[in-house]
Amino acid sequence: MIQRISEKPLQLRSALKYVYDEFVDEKKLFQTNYSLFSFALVYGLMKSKRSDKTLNSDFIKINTIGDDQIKDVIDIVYQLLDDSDKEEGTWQEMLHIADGGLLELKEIYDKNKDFRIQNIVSEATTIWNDKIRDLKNINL
Amino acid sequence: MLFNSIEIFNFGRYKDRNVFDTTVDPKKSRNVILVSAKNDRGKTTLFYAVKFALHGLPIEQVRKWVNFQSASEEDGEMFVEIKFAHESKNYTIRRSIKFRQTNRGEEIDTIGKPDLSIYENDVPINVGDNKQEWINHILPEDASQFFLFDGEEIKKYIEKPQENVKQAIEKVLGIRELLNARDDLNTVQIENFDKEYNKHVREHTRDEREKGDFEKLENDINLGKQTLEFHERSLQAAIEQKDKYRKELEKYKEIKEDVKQRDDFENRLKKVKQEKNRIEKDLSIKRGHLGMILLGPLLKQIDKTEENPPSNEQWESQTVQHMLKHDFKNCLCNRKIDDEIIKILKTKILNLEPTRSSFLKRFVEKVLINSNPEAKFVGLNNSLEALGKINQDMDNIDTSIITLNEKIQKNENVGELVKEYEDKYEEAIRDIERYENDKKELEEQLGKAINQKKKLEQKIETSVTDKNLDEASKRKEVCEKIRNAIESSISKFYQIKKPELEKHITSIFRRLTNNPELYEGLEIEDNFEMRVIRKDGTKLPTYTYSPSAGASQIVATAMIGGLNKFTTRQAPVLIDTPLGRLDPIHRQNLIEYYSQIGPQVIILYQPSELDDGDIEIIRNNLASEWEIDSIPGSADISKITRGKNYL
Repeated sequence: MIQRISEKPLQLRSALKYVYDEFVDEKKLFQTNYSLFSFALVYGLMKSKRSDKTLNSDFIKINTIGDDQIKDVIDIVYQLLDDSDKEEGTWQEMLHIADGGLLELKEIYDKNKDFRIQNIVSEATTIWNDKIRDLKNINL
Repeated sequence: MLFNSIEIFNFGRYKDRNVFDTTVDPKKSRNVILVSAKNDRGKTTLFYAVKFALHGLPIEQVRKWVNFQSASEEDGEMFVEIKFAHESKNYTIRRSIKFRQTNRGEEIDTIGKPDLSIYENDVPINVGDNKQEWINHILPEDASQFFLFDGEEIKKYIEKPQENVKQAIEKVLGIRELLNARDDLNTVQIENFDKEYNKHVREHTRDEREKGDFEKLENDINLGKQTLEFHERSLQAAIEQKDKYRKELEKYKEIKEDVKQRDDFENRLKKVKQEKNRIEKDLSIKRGHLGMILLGPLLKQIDKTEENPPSNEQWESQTVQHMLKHDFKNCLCNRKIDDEIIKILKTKILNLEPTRSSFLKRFVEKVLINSNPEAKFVGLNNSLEALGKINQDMDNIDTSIITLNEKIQKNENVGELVKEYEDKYEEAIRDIERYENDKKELEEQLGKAINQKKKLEQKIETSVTDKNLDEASKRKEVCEKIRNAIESSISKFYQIKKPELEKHITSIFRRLTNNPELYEGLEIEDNFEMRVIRKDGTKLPTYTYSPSAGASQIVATAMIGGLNKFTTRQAPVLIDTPLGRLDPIHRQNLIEYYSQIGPQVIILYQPSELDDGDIEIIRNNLASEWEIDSIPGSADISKITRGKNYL
């Protein structure tokens, strides 16, 4: 049976704690670190971003996340990346993709004092159309 | 009387010769001349030049009006000459004075008194020494203030209305001479006839008790008069205080309104900030959906994909397995399941294993139903727009607060000052009431004492036979009767003329006010205080009847305009600085009114007072436009030049 990865006690980690501190604690743009993580993860996947920085800060274990929709996002992304149950490897890859996405989002915010969400959403359809063939587990 | 031209020579800022053509055509309604000049360019100089020509000025002032540059160069002459038409004849008046060369910085050395010349069609007229009276006959000096008026000076009718209104009315009614006669008789009576009479009474009264009573009454009356005089002075002082604080409050009324407006803005800002906080909190929750929102288009595509094997085949397989497992007698199509059918059904059974793609697709189907990423995006977008709008609101409010603060000039004590002035104003009102009550009591007591003295005088006169006493008594009596007759005439004359005066002032006021439906008119009270009467009968002081900018100025202008009309003279109207701080409706009404105030109207204005829109209101009434400006290279010297001619 295929298990949902969000039910597993996997550690949410990042190399960019200072960005989480800024966006979540200082500016209160997001309620929780994991909600920012889900945004950064999908953005990083969509824009093919990845950071090589060492993941040195721990947040929570994902099976303790209280928001089912955030967990759904994590599960979907995992399925899009993994087709052979390399669970730990795929999870690590997701963390690096999230950091890559977060770096670019920070650049956008620093420049515009805004995430330019309308722009990001409007280009999402085109990007996914191009990217869908590279994703796993989609029966095209 | 219509001015044809005004020539100014070495007067004020006008060095050498400046000719101002003041021709108008009232028949074509081209009766207005506009003269524009920035501050200190010679606008007010022109105004005083006309006053000098018509009625002269005190010699100390005349010296100050001689152009100092001309005087520094050589001996010379200063004059103002007005050519005018009156009763179908053309006249010239020229008032001049000679001066000696005087160095700059010293008081200009004028020679003798100003000389007045009057010509009819360039021929000197023969009026002997009565030249000024000849001019006064056409335009009396007392009446001239209602034809030549300084917009700034209108303020005096607002600041000290009673005193100035009283003097203006007395001048226009022509009762000044009567008032002088009454005052002179009063002085003569008190200083001469009363003293003489009292002296004779004291000398000839044989009854010691009556003599004592008489002297006591005399003393009581003298003391009473002194006390009354003192109260009168105190009352005047209290009235001045009241006017002073009212003036201060007027000044601060504006600031107070600005302070109130600023406070309102600050309260609004607080509420807007609270709303902003609420929206930001809402946004921080909605931003948490961004991962799902971004996945939305991808999920829609995944949802459109087909499983492998197709989902209907998988469904059939599962259904067949279920039917066989539970030994269904009939198929779903109601056909009896026999061995034949079982064979067919078994071919439908697939060796299904959950694949990752099928798992993902089914998972996506469930997520799309539960989450609806598109709806989430709409919600987020709405919140972002609300935040944008509220940030804009906050910027606008902040700007308004900054502007108001600058206006208030960061005077943090305004509220306290206003309170202080209000308290003092109220105190002055209470003092006035008290002094008026005391004065009334004193007058009653004095009246009683005077009556008692009169009765005693009559008693003494009947009991004493003395020729000197009889004559003194008769003189006193005649003087009193004449004085009372004059007093009664003045009062009667005023009562007869007052309604007519009020009618003129009211008609102009209703024309100028920005709310004629609200007001019945203006009334002059017996103490010469003016009141605005509303339609509902309420009477309000002129300085507080309306919050509109310039409301008091409108009343004062109506006052002057009404007195102008009351003089029944036809003379040019010269207005210096006509428009103060007025709201748009008052402004337009005043501009329109000025163009119709007389057969010839000369408006001296600063460029900031009248814009193109204002001039457009009276363009069809313009005869010409002029400008006064410094001559190039000489900031102290001005020249008047014609801008446009409409005749």
